Amino acid sequence: MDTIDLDFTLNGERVSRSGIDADMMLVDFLREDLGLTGTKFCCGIAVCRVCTVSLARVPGAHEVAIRACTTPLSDINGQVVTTVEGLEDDNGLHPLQQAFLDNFSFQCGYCCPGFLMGAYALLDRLKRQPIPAEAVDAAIADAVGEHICRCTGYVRYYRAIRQVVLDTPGLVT
Amino acid sequence: MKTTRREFLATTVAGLAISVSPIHLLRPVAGSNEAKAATVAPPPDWQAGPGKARFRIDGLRKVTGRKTYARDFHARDLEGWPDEQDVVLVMRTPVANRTFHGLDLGRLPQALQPKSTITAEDLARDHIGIAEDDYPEGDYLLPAGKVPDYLGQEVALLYYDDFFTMDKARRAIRSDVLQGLSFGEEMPIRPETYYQPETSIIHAEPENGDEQTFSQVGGGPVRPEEARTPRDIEAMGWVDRIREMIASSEERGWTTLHRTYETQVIDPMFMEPESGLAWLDRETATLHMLIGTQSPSYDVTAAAEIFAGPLCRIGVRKVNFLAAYPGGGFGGRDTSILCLFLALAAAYSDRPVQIINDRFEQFQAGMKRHASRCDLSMAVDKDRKFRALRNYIYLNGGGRRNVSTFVAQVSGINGTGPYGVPYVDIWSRALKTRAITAGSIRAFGAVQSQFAIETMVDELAAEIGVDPIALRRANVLLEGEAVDTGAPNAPPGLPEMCDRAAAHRLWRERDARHAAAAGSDVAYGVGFAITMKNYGTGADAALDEVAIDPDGRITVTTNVIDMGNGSATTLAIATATHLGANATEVKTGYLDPFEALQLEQSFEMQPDNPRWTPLIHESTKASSTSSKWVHGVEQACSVLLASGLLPAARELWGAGAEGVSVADIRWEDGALAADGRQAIPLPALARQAHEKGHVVSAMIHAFYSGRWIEADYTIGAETHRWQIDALSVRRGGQTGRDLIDRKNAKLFTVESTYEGNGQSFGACACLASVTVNRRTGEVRLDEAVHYLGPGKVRQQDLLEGQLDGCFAMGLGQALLEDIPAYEDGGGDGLWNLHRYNVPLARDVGLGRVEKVILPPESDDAPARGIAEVGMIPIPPAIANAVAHATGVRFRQLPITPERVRAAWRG
Repeated sequence: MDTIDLDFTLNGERVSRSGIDADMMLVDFLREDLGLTGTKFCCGIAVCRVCTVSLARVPGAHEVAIRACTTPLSDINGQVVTTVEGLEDDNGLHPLQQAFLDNFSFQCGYCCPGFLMGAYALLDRLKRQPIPAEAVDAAIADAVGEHICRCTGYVRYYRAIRQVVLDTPGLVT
Repeated sequence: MKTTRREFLATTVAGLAISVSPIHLLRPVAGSNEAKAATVAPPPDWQAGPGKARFRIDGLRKVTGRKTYARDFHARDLEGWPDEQDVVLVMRTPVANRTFHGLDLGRLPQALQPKSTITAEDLARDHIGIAEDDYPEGDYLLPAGKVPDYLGQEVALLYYDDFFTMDKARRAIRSDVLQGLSFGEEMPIRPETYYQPETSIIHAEPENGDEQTFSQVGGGPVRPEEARTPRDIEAMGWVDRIREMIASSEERGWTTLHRTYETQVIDPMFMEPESGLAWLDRETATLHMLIGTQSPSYDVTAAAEIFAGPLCRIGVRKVNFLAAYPGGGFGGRDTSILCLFLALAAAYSDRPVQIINDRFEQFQAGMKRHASRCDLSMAVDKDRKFRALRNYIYLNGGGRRNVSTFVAQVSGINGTGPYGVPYVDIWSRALKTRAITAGSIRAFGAVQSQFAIETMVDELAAEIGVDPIALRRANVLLEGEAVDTGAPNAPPGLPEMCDRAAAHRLWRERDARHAAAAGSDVAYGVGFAITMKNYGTGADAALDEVAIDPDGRITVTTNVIDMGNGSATTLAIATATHLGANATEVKTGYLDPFEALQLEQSFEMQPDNPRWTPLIHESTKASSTSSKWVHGVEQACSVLLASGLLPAARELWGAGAEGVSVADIRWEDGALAADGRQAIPLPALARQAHEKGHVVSAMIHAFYSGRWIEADYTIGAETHRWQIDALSVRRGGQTGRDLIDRKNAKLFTVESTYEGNGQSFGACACLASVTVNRRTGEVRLDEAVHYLGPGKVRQQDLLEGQLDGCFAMGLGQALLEDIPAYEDGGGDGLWNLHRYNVPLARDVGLGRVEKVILPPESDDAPARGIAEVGMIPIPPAIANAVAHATGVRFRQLPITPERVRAAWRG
């Protein structure tokens, strides 16, 4: 077993571990080691997107949605990871969280953190590179179109994300 | 037929005490990230005024990633549990046609070897019992020397100290051809048999008469093939006559078609693979379990039963069950076998154990939707009226019976679709095969039989040259007409749905658009289907308690589970009808408190026993909350109002208010008002009720089969009639409860669930247009209209969300989802979402699916269960659209590009 000294930033806090299995998947580390179970496990083969978290190379860099179920810890060393637990701040819920609530976007809720983090990375992209309003639907499909939801038929997730994109200043040209 | 143990879940099993409650003992945690993992109370702003929710009452914990699902919990999270846990890998067989020789873990690296292993020999030595009378073989772990009963049958329990090692071992074992097992030579495949009992529904209603000559209503269920009773023999006479009628269709001027329709195995594919925790505390001989389940009462009972035998060497005196929110259910977590393996795993460890399926295991072990074949004959006369129908339904139940016979019953009940047919012969049977066990997956039984009916109706329409919707319109049932059992329970809305669809742009333009697409890359077609389905079981029981504290905060406690369908939210807003305010807390998944009702159950009526009820409790069904449990909550609220808050109000209003009755009062902005009197806010009433010893908690049991049991209850000097069969109250200042005996009860009983005639039905239809790529054969949804007759709507957002989910799942069944039933299917342990295609957002026509929700047919229309019927018309509507587009009739689901191309090739 190859081991590494793990050192990365998780939800704004430094996480360090010595001699940890380099091949351990991020989702397992989060859930089983740290007890941070907001990031979910479903297929384990990077199809369903339930385990999506956001990754940035350094603080302030582009946020990229990745699948934690197939991302080994060796790939996130030194980087900045945001999970659903990191979305709230002192002002309360993230606008995406509030919109998901207000739109009854989820039912069982198991796929919710994945949709949140996929949409979170989308917002970051649009902040840096706003798009015309007519391109929003395609951008949402690009961001979360591969995510699986079994309960709600996607309608209310898309509605909520669209609402946040359009209501957030600076995302749409 | 008497029901199996599944419907009779007692609170004790052979002396073992049983307890069910939600997760309430979370260990407090510290630390910035971990602190957020603690449980949270619902935020106060979830409400949008009395009777309405701004968002789901369980929404905040889900949207913030708090620990919610069984998979989120470790033993260390639970108060009173040891910190350390074992993680147990359940080995399963990938083959079912070879003799099992034993484990073969030699190729597993030393570091991945289990620290201990439990096999069938251990269970036999310790006299582990059989929990289910539907699996008399009782081989919960496959013994060496036997051919597996079914693919994916469990073989051994492998114990590990931690998740990571178990998970690596799991992957390594999966990569082995025989997955760590040793088998002998190939054996003949065991012949298929039928699970008993089989379902027959025979209906005969002579022409021009309103009298039913023969029906289930008219004397109970029949088994013509058994010929045990005169009615069975009479029924067989009708079977013969209907066969003769169909055979002589031509002479009668009828057009009759004989067709076979098939549907596939479906995995419910709820998002959270099953997992759970168990711990046998040997000091107290208490088995603790934590599972996200639809059927906690089944789980806890089954777990208790395997240790209940007199010779059993595992000491268990009590089972304490903690119910977690399920990460999706769709019926796949109803009477799942996971509970047994958790119990067994715990029995052989000194520490808590965790079983935590990955998706490959879930496909291998999780319950499936029954694959089906319907051999259907249907006759229509020259006046476009359906005359006779014979539907022989075969459902692949897999290796354990589970609830397959009930699925067959439901398939039969819905075996004529939403039509009035004078002569009906339905024979619905579940097969015992080597397939993965099939369960009660969403809209079970009805999806299969109504795909056949609704495809057949289109074929008949084409055969006689009439518009398919017009043919349906001429035959759909009117509200209150007899369904195929003879019960007068047809839902409203069927004719209206036909009329609306016929007038819709999609239908009116279908031929023009079909013709216009002739020269393009894609063929275009439009199809329609209309369906109905029973909701509930026909014998439904609800347990609810509503309590109010001195500050006016309302708490609902119930045995129902929220699978994501919104039960908790719906019950929270249900209190507003009588109490003018929503509940601030809903405790789902409780069973223990309701022991206060001291109920005794049997399907034989005990009129002199005030504790008797036909059924104490049942598993949670998505289609039941809005109708059954809401009724219970509203009845409890009515008790609380009449016996707690109104007496308090009279006292506060003072002299002259003694005569104010329930009929005189109303809620205005959270205050109780009566003409000429000052409105009193709810908290003031609650405080008065507590101080003066009025009723502050009402706990009820209600039973429904076509109607509710009702009775008079006297509290203090007042007697009220409520639609409940048991009542217990707690008064202000008291800690104990008082049982209120029912009087003048309008009792009844039923023979069993599903075979009674107390089912309520809901209606749903779908108009769909598709395109079919002429080169690839790929079918894409173009547009759709989804019609629903829900009756009273409790919360529009929850209803629409369910409907959207139904549409997606129906589309998956029509076009995408498929898994072989046998050797190359999920049982081989190699299936996951790379091979099993569930609909994505791009598949479901986002923004192009119109919902038409019919208004309630009356002011007192019931809230109908819709979470199952909502998906049933989707597959046949799409199949009919594909037939219109391609000119080829598809009688087998799913309609894949390969099948379309093959059909085009001829």
